[in-house]
Parts: sequence; C-alpha cells; structure tokens
Amino acid sequence: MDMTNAASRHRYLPLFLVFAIACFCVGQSTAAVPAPQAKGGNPSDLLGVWIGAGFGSTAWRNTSWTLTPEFTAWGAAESKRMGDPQVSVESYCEPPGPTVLMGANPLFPMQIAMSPGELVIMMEGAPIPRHIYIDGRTHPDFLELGWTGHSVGHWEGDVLVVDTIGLKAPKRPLNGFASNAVIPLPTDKGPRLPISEQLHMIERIRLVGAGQFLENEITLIDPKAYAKPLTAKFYSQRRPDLTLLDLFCNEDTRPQDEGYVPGKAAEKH
Amino acid sequence: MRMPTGVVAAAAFLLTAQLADAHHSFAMFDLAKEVTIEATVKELRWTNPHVWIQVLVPGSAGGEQEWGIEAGAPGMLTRTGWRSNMLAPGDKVTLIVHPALSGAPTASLVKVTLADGRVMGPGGPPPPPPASAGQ
Repeated sequence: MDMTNAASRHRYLPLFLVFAIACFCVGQSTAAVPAPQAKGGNPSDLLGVWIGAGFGSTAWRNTSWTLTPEFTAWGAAESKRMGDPQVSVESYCEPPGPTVLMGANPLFPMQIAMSPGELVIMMEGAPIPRHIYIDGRTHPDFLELGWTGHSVGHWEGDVLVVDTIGLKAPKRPLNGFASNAVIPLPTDKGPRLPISEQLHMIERIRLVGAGQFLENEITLIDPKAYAKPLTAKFYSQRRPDLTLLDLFCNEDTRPQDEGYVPGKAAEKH
Repeated sequence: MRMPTGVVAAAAFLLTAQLADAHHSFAMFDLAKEVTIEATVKELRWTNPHVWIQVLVPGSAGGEQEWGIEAGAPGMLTRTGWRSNMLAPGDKVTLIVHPALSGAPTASLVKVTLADGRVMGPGGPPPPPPASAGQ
C-alpha cells in the first residue's frame, strides 16, 4: 500500500492527537448510549474495565503461541533479528497494537467503551485507542497502514467475531512486546514471533465465567511470516474496582536504555 | 493444583519483570542476584514509563555515590499501595535490588524498606478484586 511520507505524517500529528483524545472522551462519556442493534450478543455486556487474568491459577488460563512455528524465509530471518536486544531500543515508544491490547496483560487494565456503532478499547499505556466497528460496515477498499489497523465485528451467536487488517509491522515480536527478546519466561522459550504488515487478525470474543471473564481466541494469518495461522486464547477478568491510570513512554527523558546511570549522560531535551 | 509459595513468587517476579517493561529491557540487570543497599533518598522520580528512586550510597572512601533504582510504571505502583509522597529527600532506606550487569550504579528494585518500616515492592499486578468472582 502507498504510505504517506514521514514529514506529512508529522504535519498531521496534532490533528491526530486531538482526534485520539476526542475518541477517548467519547468512549468515556457514552457508556449510557443505547446499544446498536446487533444480532446475537449484546455489546453492552462487554463494557467496563478488564485486566489480564489468564496467567495465574485461574480456571481461565491463557494458551501460548506455538513454540514451533512454520516460518517463511522472511519470518525466520526476522525472528532471528528480533533476538537482538537492540530491537527493544529501536521500538522504545512504539504504540502497542491489537495483538498487545488483546493479550490480557495482568499489569495494565484495558477498558471497553462504546460509541454508536463501535466499541472503543483503551489500555493503560497504549496511546492510541482501538476502534471495532459493529455497525455492519466492511473494510475500506483502500487503507493506510496504522498501529491499530481497521477492525470490523459481527456476532455469531454470543461470540463477537472481529476482523482486523491494515496494521503496521511492529518492531517487537508477538511474544516479546513486553518481555523483549532476551529475558525468557518458562512459557516463553520459543523463537521470537514477528508479524508483518500482511497480518490478518481474527478474534472470537465472548463472556465466560458468569460474565466475569472475557475470552478472546485470536487467530493470526500472516503469509509473509508463517506458513500456517497462529492461534492462542487469552482471558481477562472484569475489574470495576480498577481505573486506567497514566502511562506513556517518554516523560522521563533521561537515557536509560542501559539503565539510568547517574552522571553518565545528560538528559535529552 | 496449588503451587508452592516460592514457585508462585518466582513466577510472579518473572512475569512482573517482563510485563512491567513495556518499553525497554531489564536485561541490563542481573535478575539472579540481589544486593542490599543502605542509602539516603535523594529523589523519588514519579515519572512515566517507570518510577526511579535516586539514592546516595556511602562509598568506601568516605564519599557518596548516587545510584538510580528502577521500579515499575506509576500505575503499577499505585495499584500495589505506593504513593508518591512515601519517600522524601533525606529518608534513610534499605533497598534490595538486582544490580546492573555492567557494575554501573543502577539497579532494578526488588523491595525497599521505608524509614517508617513499611516494605514496598517494585509494582506488579493489582491485588485481587474485593469479592473475587468466577475463580
């Protein structure tokens, strides 16, 4: 797809920020808006604050991405490149996209709000809200790549099926946005999992556990990186006692990619 | 199945160490090593993406060396009981940290004992909801 150049993108940054803030405010203030007519589930049931709960000893436990993916040549090379810890430096302020937002992070809550015809998903630490259009529209014929892509949802019974395309390729791996490429978890010993701009993300979202848990079965189809789709399930718990707090990447301007060392370098301005 | 407390604690730490860091790696710290530091608080930097405790550590030659101690995100600390007024310049504290692999005076916070005896961690998942449901 054609991409606008960097200068043009920067020119529109203030407008984008106003738009993003406006969307956030709309999402915050319209929880009482009547739900759009939707066949199947009721989107209002999904609203509220959620936090990842599938890592602990809960009945609703995440499944992990495969440890033995069938890489394409590009995917294998990119996976190896992402093993370089320098990658984390490159992506220091990269906005997390849907694969991160929907990954049931147990530290940073997400909030699902609603505006007429769409769900808006915000996550603490994600500067760009995600919009899932549930008014019957389809993906546009032409789509600029972006960090949250273009998402449309429809109901299959009580399952909200969300289809997302138009994502920029993140510099961090799928299994390493948070963990980076160098600190292994017992459940994270597989190769780094890159995703490309060809990613087609399909989510099957439903309530479980008497409506207190949100299940999201995510399927990733990325023919540039993998010969077969990747699938995993993630669980979040409803937490009306939590609120989303401030989190962004560059309030502290001191160099700290290698840990902040007093006196080693001056602050960036 | 219930796991031993130590296993749960280790898993929680690994999870926290990884997920807390949405921005840069903690790979510069020796996560297998813990060092105890007696220090005086210079500044609590309640900043995004991570909170830092700047402390002055007595040196062997009689002077002081400033250390930067990294904790989690402000929201993580808030939800685990921290408040930004818990540390003030001049407070005497005891810190347990993961030191930098490089030997530089920077470290990752494990826990800090405040002047009033409270022990605070580096931030992590929020405590369970008041009335746990569905588990």
